[in-house]
Amino acid sequence: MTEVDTPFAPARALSYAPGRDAAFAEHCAVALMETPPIHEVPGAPIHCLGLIEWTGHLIPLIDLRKLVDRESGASQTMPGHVLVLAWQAAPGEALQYGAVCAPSLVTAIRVSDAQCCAAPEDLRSLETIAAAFFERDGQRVPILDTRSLFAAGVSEGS
Amino acid sequence: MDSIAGNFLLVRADALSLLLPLDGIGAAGYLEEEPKATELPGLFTTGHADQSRFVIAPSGRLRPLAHYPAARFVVTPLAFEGKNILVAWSEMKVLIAARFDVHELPPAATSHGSPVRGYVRMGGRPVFRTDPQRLLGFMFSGAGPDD
Repeated sequence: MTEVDTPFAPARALSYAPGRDAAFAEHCAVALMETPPIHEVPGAPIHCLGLIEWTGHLIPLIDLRKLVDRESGASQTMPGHVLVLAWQAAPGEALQYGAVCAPSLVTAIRVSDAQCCAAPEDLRSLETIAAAFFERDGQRVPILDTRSLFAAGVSEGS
Repeated sequence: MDSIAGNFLLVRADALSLLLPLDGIGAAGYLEEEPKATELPGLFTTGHADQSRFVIAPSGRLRPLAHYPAARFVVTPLAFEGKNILVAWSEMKVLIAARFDVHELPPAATSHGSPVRGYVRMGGRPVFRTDPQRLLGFMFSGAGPDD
């Protein structure tokens, strides 16, 4: 197969920290919100900043930087924008929602199988929640599986 | 979604609101003087000599506040491991014959040892459901003051 006829999949990418990008399948990204109020949850994992309201529901907000870096500090991150994501636990079930901090612009990208690569050493913690990794502009970027990202015990298992 | 009904104690610590079953919780009181610090950070005492009692003031993350806030003069005694600990709140209300729909916490917002079991909504905000054992167990779980 030549590069010309390599199929591309649409995705959404964001930088969760300087020089660190993550991507999601295009159909999972449903909305972008600006600085929503955050309701902290006592005892939540450090990477879960709390709950935010979206269309009448309270949904979890995750800071990918804290998930990757395993920050232990309790300081509150001001997320700026947040990207609301959706997933379906099983066919026929209602959509579920969660959000991730989006401190940078969320961009539309296209990813092909030819870009696929192995997980970099510094992102091993994302292997269990990444559907795949791909190379883009010299950076290895995870495509995160939304359902796995918002499952219980992500930080313990990753 | 489950429903709960009965008598409850609605308390607030800064921006954090909690709902506890009223059964087994002693009468609320007011501190007339600022509690004194103990050797244990986040644990204070009030009263004199053999009448003294431990006081603890939760942060918005349900950790013991290291410095006692002057505005926390409303206290409720909560039983924990054979002792009555006075817990200081920003605000407190007793709700009689109340009924609430309880929402489960999203799995991403829970962890082992979580002090809350779901939430109810009041005025659009989450009020987290807990009980004295979980609440004080979490506060004394060793992480120490974080505020």
